[in-house]
Amino acid sequence: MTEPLLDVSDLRTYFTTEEGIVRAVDGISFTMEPGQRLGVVGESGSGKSVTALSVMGLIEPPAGKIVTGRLMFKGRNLLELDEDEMRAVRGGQIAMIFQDPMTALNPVYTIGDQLMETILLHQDVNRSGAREIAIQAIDDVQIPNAAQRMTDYPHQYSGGMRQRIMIAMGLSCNPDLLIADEPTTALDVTTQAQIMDLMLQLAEDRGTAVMLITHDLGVVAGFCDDVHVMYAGGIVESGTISDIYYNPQHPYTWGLLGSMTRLDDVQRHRLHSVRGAPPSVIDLPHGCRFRPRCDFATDVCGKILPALREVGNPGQQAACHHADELELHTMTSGEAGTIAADVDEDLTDVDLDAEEIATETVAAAKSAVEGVSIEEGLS
Amino acid sequence: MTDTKRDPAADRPATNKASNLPDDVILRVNHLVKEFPITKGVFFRKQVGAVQAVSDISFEIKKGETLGLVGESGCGKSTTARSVLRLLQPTSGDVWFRLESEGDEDEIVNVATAKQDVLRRARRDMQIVFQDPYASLNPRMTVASIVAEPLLVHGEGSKQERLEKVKDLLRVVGLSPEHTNRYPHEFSGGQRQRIGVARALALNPSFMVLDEPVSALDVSIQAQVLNLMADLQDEFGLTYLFIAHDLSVVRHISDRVAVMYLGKTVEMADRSALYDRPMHPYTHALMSAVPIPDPKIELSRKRILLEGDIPSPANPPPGCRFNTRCPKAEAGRCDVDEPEFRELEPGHWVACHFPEVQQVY
Repeated sequence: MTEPLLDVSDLRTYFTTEEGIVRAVDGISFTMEPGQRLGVVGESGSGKSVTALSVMGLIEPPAGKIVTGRLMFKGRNLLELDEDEMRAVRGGQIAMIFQDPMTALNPVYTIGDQLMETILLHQDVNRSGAREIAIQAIDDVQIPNAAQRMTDYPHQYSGGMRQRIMIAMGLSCNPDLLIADEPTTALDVTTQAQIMDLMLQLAEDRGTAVMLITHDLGVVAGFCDDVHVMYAGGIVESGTISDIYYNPQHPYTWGLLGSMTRLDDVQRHRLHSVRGAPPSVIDLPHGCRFRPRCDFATDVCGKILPALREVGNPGQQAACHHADELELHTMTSGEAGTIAADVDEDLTDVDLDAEEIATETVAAAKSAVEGVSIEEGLS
Repeated sequence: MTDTKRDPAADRPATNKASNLPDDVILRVNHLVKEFPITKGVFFRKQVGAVQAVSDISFEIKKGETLGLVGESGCGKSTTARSVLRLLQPTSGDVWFRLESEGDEDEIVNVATAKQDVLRRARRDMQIVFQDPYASLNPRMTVASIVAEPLLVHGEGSKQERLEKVKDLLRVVGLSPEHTNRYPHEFSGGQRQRIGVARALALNPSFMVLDEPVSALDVSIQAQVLNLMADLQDEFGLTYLFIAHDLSVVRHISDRVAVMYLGKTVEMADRSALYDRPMHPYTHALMSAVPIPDPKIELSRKRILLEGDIPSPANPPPGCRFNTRCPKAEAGRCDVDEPEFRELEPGHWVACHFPEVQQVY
């Protein structure tokens, strides 16, 4: 097999805050092949965006810091590059699309200027050459009258159009990897369909690898080859889309799928909600991080943090002590519903206890933190 | 141009006991219009136009039922919700609301034109839960004072009685009664939304407007809140007007669904009829755009991709408002005649010149 495009190993990105150390990404490893479309799915605070920012070298010191890890991209460790070398990679070989296209574009420069800036920085062309590439890029994202629209400002574009421009900008230098961080979350559903369709088409045509970061399992289903499910800073399950959707091995993945309302649901059933709320990333629970919300937790779950291991289909991995015993896929949504209904009774108490503990620990940590150096906190 | 300062109560009766609201109907919205003025100039704010955010819509909600109102941003769904509660003064149209009274005959009130004292009584029975649980709770008030505020405003009970009621309400929405002295920032998003629901329930309303109540929440928390809303409806016989942009959520919670586009309802039907047999081309496009978390279905589905963006409501296209983006639009017909909102099958209303049932998943 050829060398992977991106090889992330044991990445840990921490942030120092007044409340304590936020372990936003805490020891994740994965690889991406050229042309692969990978979905990184998780709820807010799961660490999916910080993963992307770490790869892009956009973690702002001094608050944020990549504590350990290796980010091999095309054979080079991105963490060892200096700022100039990193700037050449960023935008040139790895491009990123952000959630909010309005704040990602500069309102006082024309669309053309902003597109040409990227091209002039990364490609060996003069202004007229850059202009041509920019017009082509706008045309590629199916915006009519590309040449005229070069002189427009961002406010003259609609939300969907702006996101198209972001895609044009991202792809204008033919990167090997495009990271799209919730690219359609701010858009209406019909616009979302247009944008996802466009991204799929362009990525396929050019063989660009895409890392799609999203909370929406629906969007992933139609776009990605493989999925990583993240929870509280770690990857809890990974596999192909059919592994994840039809044979989930981790109780969190299973719960997430059960929580989703579906357009094609004929029968109205009770949603299988995952009880409680995600833990504070400052004060992670001992052992498995999903334990306080898990219906299947045992003693061992409170003691040992489970590592990813192969379980389920070949190549599928889950970080759960009990993954091979649970047979989650055999539980239909109907059964899930009844289980959820039983659990719902004591849901709120557990939920609040966790919250209470979290609040108290933060307060305790706050008073204890004075005088303790960051290094001590990290070790 | 409409003068928005005009007193709408002047030319219409404030209450109408004789209005023919069927016994099982709790709310009837009749030809509701809401315009916002467009002004120019800094000192003399001259009105130069109007945005018709809601343009002549009508619907009914039966007792105990959930009507889902869906559409994309700018379609007027939230404006409709706020006009129904008269948080926004409707430009024209009526909002008939049934004020239930024990023993006596129910009183039918026109919320759009009611005098302050009548409106005040009506508002005890109609409540709202807002989208953003971070913005809709005052950060400087404790949970107890937030939830008790409606009781205080309406002069209910003594201080002690109110506190007891607050504790009951917190229990009902799945929070711990011990949390009365906490502040909103101590709660997570899902818990804050529960506080918002407890506040809305304080006066035992019969009707609740839920304006995107789960849109700001993570998927797993969203499911918890949706389950809670369903439980409360069963327990208290509540009637919901559920506003959302997410068609999957609306299918899950609603009995009937109305689809809005650019200030108009384009289709309205029972939930199963609307999702299984949608007839309006906009409904088709909207539904086909919603991703389904199932790779096999996703990869085999054909999407109807709409061209362009929603036109500005300040300058809606003539004829059918959807004609500029509609794959079925016929020149000379759709861009000239506005289609009537017609009942094509019992309970299934469509505003289209060429309605046709189409499978979308």
